[in-house]
Amino acid sequence: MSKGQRTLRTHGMGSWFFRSYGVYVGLVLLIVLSGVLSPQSFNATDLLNLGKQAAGLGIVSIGQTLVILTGGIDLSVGSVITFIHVFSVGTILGRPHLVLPVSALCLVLGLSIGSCNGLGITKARISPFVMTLCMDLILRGLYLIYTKGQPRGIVPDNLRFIGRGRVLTILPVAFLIWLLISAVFIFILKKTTFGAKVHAIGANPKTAFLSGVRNDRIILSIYALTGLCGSISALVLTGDMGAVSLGLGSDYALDSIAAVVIGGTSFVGGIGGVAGTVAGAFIIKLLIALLQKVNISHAGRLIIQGILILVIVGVYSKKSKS
Amino acid sequence: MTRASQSIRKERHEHMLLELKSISKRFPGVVALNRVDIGFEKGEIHALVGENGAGKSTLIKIIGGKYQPDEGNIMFRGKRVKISDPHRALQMGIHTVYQEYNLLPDLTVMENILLGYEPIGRFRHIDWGEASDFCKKLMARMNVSVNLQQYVSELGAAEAKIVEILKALVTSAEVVIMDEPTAALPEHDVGALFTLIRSLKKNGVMVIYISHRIDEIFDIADRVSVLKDGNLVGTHRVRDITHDLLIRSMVGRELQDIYPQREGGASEEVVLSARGLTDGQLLRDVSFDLHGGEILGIGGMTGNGQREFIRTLFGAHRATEGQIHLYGEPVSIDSPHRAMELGIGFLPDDRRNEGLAVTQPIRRNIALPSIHLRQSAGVIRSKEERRTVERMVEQLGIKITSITQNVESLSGGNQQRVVIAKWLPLDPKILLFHEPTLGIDVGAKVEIYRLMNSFTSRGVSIIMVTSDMMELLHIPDRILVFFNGTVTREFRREEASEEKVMFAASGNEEVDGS
Amino acid sequence: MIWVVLLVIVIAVVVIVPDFIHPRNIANVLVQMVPLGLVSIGQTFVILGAGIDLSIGPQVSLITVIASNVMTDTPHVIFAAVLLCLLSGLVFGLLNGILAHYVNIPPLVVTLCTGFIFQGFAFALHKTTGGHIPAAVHNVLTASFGILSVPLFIFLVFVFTGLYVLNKTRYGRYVYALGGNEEVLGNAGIHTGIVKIITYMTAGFMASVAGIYLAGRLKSGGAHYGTAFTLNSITAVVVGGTTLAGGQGGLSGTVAGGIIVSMLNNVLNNVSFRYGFQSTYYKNILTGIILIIAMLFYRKR
Repeated sequence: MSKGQRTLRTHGMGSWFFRSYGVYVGLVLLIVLSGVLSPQSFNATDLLNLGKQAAGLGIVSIGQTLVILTGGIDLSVGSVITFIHVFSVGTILGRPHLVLPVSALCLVLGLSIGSCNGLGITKARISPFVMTLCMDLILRGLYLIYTKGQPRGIVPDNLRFIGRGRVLTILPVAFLIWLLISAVFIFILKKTTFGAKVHAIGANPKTAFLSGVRNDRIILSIYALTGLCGSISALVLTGDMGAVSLGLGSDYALDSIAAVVIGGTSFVGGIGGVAGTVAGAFIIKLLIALLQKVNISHAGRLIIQGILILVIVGVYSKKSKS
Repeated sequence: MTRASQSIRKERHEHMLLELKSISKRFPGVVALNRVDIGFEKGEIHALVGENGAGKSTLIKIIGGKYQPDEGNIMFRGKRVKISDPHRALQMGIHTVYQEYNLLPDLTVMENILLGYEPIGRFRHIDWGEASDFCKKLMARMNVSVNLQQYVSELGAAEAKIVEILKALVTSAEVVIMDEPTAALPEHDVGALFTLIRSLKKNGVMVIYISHRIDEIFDIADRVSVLKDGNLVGTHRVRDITHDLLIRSMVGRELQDIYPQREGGASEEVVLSARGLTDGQLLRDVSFDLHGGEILGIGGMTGNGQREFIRTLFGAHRATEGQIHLYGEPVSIDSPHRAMELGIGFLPDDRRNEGLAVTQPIRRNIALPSIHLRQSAGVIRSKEERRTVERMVEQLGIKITSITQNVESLSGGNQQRVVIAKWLPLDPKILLFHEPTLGIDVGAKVEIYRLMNSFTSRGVSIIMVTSDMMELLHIPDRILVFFNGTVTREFRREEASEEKVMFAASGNEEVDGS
Repeated sequence: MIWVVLLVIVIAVVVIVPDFIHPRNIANVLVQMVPLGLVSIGQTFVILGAGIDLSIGPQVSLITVIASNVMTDTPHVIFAAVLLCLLSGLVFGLLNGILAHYVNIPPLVVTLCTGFIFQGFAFALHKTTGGHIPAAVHNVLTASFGILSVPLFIFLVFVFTGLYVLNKTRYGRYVYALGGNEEVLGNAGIHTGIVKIITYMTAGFMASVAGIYLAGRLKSGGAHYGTAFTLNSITAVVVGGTTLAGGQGGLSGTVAGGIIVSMLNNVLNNVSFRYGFQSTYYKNILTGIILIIAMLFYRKR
């Protein structure tokens, strides 16, 4: 059976509604819930703060959305973030004039790492799961070797501004960056030829190829873009954290997949989008914050996270009664 | 009613293994079957014909237990029965072999045949010895022979179909329903399949046989029932009816109308040519010329390089040697993207999996190949796209409710029109068709041929690979017959005949005088 | 075939690191390999059926925690604890299987989430003291005679059972069929859900066996003990020639793959010790490179 036929059979039309709008409903419900549980933080400042905290996850999830839309996956994003993070701090070493050039270098690095993923997938025909897994492992080794287990460096103020700064007193810079990048990609996916080709590859790669789409180029660029998103995330997170840590990126691979999946994008390819992922990233961070407020332990958080994602994705994937 | 006629009635019923009385079935918006009365005799081969949407598929799904009739009765061996689900049908001895591929490619023939019914030995292990004996006996009874140890992925389409039918015979069968068993097979590969079907009959099994290929019906069936728009038009003994009459009752048209006259002729100019195309495997020194406004037919037994040939011209297959010329200039076609730049379009044989994205709306499918024509700096001009797509839909007569509809729900003929619509906005000069009317009913075929005619009269050149002999002999201006990766003979339409084509397809090259 | 590759690697290793062939080291490698090997057997069943189990590492951790929390020195309690662990493994697998089949979510996501859940429970039940494992249990599970040992024996028993089931029984055929084309299997009248669920229950059961052994060997339970097994078991399976899409490959390949992974890790430890660098940094890179090479090697398929 073709992938297309499988998609229609597994998802049906009944779940389309949930999948397209459910995440926004869920987000609103969750915000209301958080308002009920802790009314004192139900104000613009705190919500915007949430946006700032979710930005790191949000940005990297945009790349993950593109990847999953074409039926792939990127397991390396977490270590990309950590790698860029320690590299940038370790190179800047507190000197503000180096921030700009090193950041630019980091963006290039992110693109390159992503391109390596893309090349392995398109040229060497290695499955995305394995390729990005290997990249993840290699990067982990690399940043361990680079830091010899003890990362050093200080984050200068101008970099901190990206992570922690605010515009007009309340709007966090990080949040704005995230929203901007999201808007750009939503536009690209919906309105450009590139976006149409991405959707086409996700829906049926063979047909896309025989319709003149250069699959390999598009897939390569998607993974490169994901690497780029990873490096942008790393810079934002570095700025926010203000210090250096080897564990910075550790949860991001799985969390970004969760954000994409909660946002309604399907693994079978071709269905979904960035807007949903934005809401998905919000939901995840809000959930973690809520659980912390209610004083649930790390263990409890993991359990609830697992159950919740299962329930949400289960609802999306319900077969319509045929 | 006199006692004599009563007894005649009773006698006739006793021959009837399966009877459908006044069966009706409705789906939202459409009446699939309307009070259909058909009787199937024990041990006969009964063909079911009709256009797409006539109700054949619904009918066999009711017999097979997948659907329940809204009205009417089913009688099996004279008793009223309810075939509540496929399991029940199997218990009654009713087996269905559907069109969709139902085998496991990574397992062997024997493993596939006995899937679910493997004989087990003392330690719960599979007794392959006993399994092998069983299969051999089954094959002997059915007068066919397949290599039990071969992996199904290595089988040709005809052998695979035979394995599927053998699979259906593992548990005792009274009725075997076959839905388009030859649809994916080239005309000449059906021999072994027919042997199998005749063996079924010899063993007392009743066969219900759905097919679009009228010739086959006359070859193998005892009786034929014609469905049209959910109604039974009539049931006839095959020897009591002619080809023409049968088609007329299906379609309301004469045989000769199916193949429209070729309008105009080819020009002298050679638009596309190749010399010495080789790929080291299936293509072996292929050379040809294509003239402006010409339809060039490619025939021969499937698997002799035709598929690789046509895909090489579209950049979807790599030739290791050889040269292609477009309008006299040498070109290198290394990808579909490049082929499209050169003005070539391609309609693959596997429409659903390679020609369309079934989960995407019609609009997206049609717009994709020409998407770069309606963009400014990468941004799609949406209104222009919509207008273009709507224009295509109208021009080609695609029957849809809206361009946001999904492609999945369309009939074969309509789907092929969508695939054609993909290419028109690019104004291609060359169109490559691989099995242009595979799985399309007679009525829609005519439309496709008419479209081809209209294209060529506008100067478009067409190459079509087909395994449909009638189509090959009636539509193209010239025919190239492939054998073993190379062209054995070339015919003009006037000089071609079925025998000559078959002769060339079996490897006999140009002989003086013929 | 992968066994040829294994032989080549063994020869190469013996040449580069002559110490490797020392009986003590070989015994060590074999013993180190056992928990990974056990888990990989289960993972093989799941992946052959076109699924994947990302929760297997957390399952192992959770079992070690349960075992170390429940066991006391009383023989009855030990017996009951072992039974409880094995049962838990089956239940975990049952959960995974039911979710993977009846709720329409890809196994990747399902086992990712159940992995979170199991890990959460492991953290919750984890005792900083590491719990208690009776000395008797430890001794039995680590007993050895030269190169042979109890864990190796246990492993071989499961390997041969697994090989028999996969290659000789109906169920084994159905697992391959499940991975090849689930719908075709269903059309043949087999309940695909049951086949699938049993693959996950097998993985869970193997995880619990591995967990019990690990707890016994380390004389404690820990929420992190099993983490590496998820990735390493997938590596062993892939290196052994089973494709992630299912339907092709087999258990013997996985065993070879597991040996390769363990062996190379052991070599890395030796070499890093000799040349004075931190092996943990390079372990990851090594696994990554092994995987890439394996994929390139199997690309011909």
